[in-house]
Amino acid sequence: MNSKEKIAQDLLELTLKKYGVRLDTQGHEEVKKGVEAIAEAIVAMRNLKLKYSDEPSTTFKPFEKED
Amino acid sequence: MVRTGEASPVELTEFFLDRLEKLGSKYNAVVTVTRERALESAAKAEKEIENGLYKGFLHGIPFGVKDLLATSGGIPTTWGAAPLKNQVFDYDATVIKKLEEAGAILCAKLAMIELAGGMGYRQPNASFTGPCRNPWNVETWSGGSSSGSGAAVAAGLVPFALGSETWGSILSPANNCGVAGLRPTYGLVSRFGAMPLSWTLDKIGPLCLTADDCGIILEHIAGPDPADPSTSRSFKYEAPNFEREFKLAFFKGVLEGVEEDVSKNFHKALEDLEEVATIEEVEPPEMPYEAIARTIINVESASAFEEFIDSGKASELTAPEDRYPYARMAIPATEYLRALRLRGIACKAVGRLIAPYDAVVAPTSRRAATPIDTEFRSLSPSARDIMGAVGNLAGLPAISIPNGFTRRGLPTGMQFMGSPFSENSIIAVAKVYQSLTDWHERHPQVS
Repeated sequence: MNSKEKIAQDLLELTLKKYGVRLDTQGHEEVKKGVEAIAEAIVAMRNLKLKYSDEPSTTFKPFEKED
Repeated sequence: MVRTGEASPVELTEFFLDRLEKLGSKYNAVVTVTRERALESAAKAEKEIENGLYKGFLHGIPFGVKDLLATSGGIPTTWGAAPLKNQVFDYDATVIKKLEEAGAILCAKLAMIELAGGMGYRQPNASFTGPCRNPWNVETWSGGSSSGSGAAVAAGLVPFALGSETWGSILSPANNCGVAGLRPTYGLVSRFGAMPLSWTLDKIGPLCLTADDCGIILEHIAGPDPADPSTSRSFKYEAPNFEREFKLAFFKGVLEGVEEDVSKNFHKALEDLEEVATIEEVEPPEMPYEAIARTIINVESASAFEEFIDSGKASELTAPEDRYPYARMAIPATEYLRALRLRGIACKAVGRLIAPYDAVVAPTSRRAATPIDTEFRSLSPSARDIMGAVGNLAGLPAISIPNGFTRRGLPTGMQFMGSPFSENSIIAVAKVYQSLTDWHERHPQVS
């Protein structure tokens, strides 16, 4: 099993554990499509090497006073 | 005309209220007509102008907003979703406040795709108000998720409207309906009072008949807002600078998978632009832009709608594919942070690439409006949207304007995307193109 399939399977198991009881046949199909798309994105992102200095593009601002 | 008293704000408002009420349902474009609030504002504007207190271009001018912007006074804000059709707020979104302070008159809350398309819709019929129909051909879709904003401007139900974009939701209806649509730089316009879909990607912008109108509206809605920490600076709309040639670029491969008529109109537009611009091909650095943007949207929407999703309310949504938004709830936090780390790299790489240019030009969409009853994603399932992914991921501004028609008589669009906070440049290029052509002066037959 390749990495993408393994990621999709893990995500599917996790999703079904919490939401499985709510799903009909179409629901199962939609969730399966969803985890496959997410797994594909994860694999595409993991193909790029990050450095320790690559911080998330988001800014935390300590509160000083009301603007 | 309003300033000189030749046109009465009350008469103007009544004219558009009547059109919204008579024609809105033909296109499924309107959720709520705000008649009482509009007439009250119009009477106030009329009195102010009579007393010599003219506030500027927007004084006495009617407008509509996508129904994800909060309105006080018991007017529902439905987010296009059946389970939220009675939702009310006790405050107004900052952008509505700003427009009303400028004297503009809120006439309608306009239709939209449920939850701005955040649940993954694949078809036009994904709103409790029904599929929004395109005024150029009611058997085709207006685009989404700011569906009603595009249709209402094209059909002359309002002079201008506000929409929002996380990925494509202003540019798509501008393309399909043949109007101008401006997606501002992330952080230029306050999101306070707007439905959150993805906090780091949501933008609010105008849909109008011309690029020039977009500049005027943007000046009035932009600016710092303590209620939205992402806002940082104001915007002053300046007339185009004709003193030099524009420098334009287009991304390598941007025409892959584009419909024949869209491609033909784009090439013709480039020929027209060569009168006023140099145009070069550039290649964006190879990065998984779509994957990064999708991951961020998935996780931020999972958090924003966690209560909604966990309550089971998604099962009441209109489009069957929107009723199961569960997969995103399982994405690990490390993958979200990986996306945010890659986003920083992507923003720098793209920013450096496009900095020497006034704008990157491209077709707004691969195709013109699609049939009203067709799953649009099935038409080209593997096609990439490099402009949408790069532009929204990096928070870049873009404006879409019409650049021709297909053989079936549907408008096609062209977009100009620029560096952060370069709205004056991209509007200038669009305005010059509109001075060379008359596509924006053509309007659909509305009866």
